[in-house]
Amino acid sequence: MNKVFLFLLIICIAVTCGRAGEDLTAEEILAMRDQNMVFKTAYSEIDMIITIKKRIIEKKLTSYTEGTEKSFVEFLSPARDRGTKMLKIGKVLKIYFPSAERVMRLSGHMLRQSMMGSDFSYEDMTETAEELRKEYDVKLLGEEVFGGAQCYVLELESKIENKTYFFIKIWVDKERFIGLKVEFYAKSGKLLKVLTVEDIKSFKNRFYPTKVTMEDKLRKNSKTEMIIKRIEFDLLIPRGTFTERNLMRR
Amino acid sequence: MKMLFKLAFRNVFRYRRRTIITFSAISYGLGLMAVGISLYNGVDTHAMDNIINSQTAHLKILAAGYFEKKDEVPLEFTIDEPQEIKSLLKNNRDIQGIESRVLFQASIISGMDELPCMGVAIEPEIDPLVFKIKDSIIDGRFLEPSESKIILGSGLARDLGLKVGDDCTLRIFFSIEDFIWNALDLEIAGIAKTENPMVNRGTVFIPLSLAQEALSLENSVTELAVRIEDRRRLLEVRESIEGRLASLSKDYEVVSFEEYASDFKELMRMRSRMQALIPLMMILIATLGIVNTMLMAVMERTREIGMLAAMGMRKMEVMLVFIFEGALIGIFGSFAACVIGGLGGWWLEAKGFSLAFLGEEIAEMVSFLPMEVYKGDLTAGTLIFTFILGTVISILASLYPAYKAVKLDPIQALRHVG
Repeated sequence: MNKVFLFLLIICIAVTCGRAGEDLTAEEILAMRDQNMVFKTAYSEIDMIITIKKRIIEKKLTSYTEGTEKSFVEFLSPARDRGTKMLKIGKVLKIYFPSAERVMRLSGHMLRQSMMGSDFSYEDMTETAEELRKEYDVKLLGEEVFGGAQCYVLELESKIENKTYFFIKIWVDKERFIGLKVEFYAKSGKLLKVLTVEDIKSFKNRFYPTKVTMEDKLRKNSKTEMIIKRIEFDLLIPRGTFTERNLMRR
Repeated sequence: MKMLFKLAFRNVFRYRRRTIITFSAISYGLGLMAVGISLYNGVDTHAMDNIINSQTAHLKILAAGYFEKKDEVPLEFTIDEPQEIKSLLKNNRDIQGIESRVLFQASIISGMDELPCMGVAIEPEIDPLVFKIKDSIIDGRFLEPSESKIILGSGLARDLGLKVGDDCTLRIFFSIEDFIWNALDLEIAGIAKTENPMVNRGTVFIPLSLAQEALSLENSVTELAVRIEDRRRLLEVRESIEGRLASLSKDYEVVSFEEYASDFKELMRMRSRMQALIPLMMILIATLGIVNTMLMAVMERTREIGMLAAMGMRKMEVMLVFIFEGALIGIFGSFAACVIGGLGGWWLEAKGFSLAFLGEEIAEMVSFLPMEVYKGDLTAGTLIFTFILGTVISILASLYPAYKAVKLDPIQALRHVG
């Protein structure tokens, strides 16, 4: 049933694309971008490089992901963070700090704070495209060349009055349907964060960003790069990966 | 009687050294006591004044429900028609000024540093009528309506290393609980060092319209701060405001500075239980000093008392001489004490002293009172009390040794080696 649906969807997209790229609505562009990011399962090895002024902190981590709902992250280095694990199921994020030997459940405001000292917040890492579409009105502003690629420029405006990221601007690559740049703005119009995709690799059935940089504009001279060293899609994830017991496992 | 008084008067000048010792004991001890009491009173009155001038004004008009949750600095209990209330109270002669304000939770960001603070949105053209923030600007200038600028408390500016003209980012929370916020880039217009270190340490001021826009409040405010002409009429003014507001459809509450700063009041009350002992101790120490010198002075004159008795002076008369002497020294000493206390108290009241000599950071840790400068409060009552206390104690202190000496057999007294 699902496969049939997917097939129909692909045909629909193909037809729309075939007709003329310019006729895509903002929602469709966003949906197609998301399509690239959705997979059944994935395993990746990531380098996270945090630069604060002249200080550079490098962290290595691995991540298992299943759909948009479940993910499991483990930090391998530096020694200080080694063994720190994060489990996200749905909206709930749990973290295990080996130094405290305790699982902490992050919710509400804690999700909006800096993740392990980086420019990403926990929420930046966990927010799904679905939620974005639910919470924002999308508008197509036009087209622009960014990073050498022709892009659609989308503007998202929060449906509710009080939201930290009130406006979001996304540059979506017209060919590969990947958001090359995302700008997050406060309601006052102040630029809060900028996410830039610096490298994209092509995989069997998709394009996937392998180097992204996030800059928290509230912090001066600070950026965090995430470099995906290795990624495997649609593999079999060991049973018990997405469990609290796995968090505590040494 | 006149003779006795003359004798006493002469004695005072004859025993010059002894007189000087007693006189200085009284004037110094009681003088310091008067200064101490002034300071003690000053802390009470000035601390309250500081809170009124920088935080609470005399009265606050709040939307019903706000006061109970004031510690959370809520944004949901708003006054939606501040202008209407203002015009309603326009004709009240007791009111010196009414300012619309918004209090919000915020944090201020400079580079990698971020400090939490209390945000206060003010009407720059009205604020000087109600608060004394404008007078406390030590660098830069005060705000102008709807400009994108900010005033920082001096402690905040120091901790973040910010100066007038620098840019900083203000994170304004809709909800600190959910960490939902807006951000504004603001230039620092001025730095405020009020007499209230709590404000200096953690408050920022921005123009009202800026905050209303950033917090999507439209024309609403969270409070109206009222300053009245004469603080003694606080209750009447409050009642008349409450009467006026009753005609409006929405519910409001009027809260006095004492209620608003009740935490502080409570602190003061706890403190005063312990500290009531301090003036008492000072009185005791001053008294003991006087009694001691008086005792010594009379005791060393036992032989003289024996001589007077031997020459036929009656016991009562001998005692009177000593009481006159005590009274004379007491009166002069107390007068000098009042001069010392008066000068000291006046200096404390006019200038005060700051704990800054301990270093700014230590001073901040030590001072839990809302006072940047410790000022005294000298009252006529304190001086009158000092004068009476000094005189009475001197008389009483000379009574006992004189009585004891008089009771001795004149022969014995004459043989006394003193």
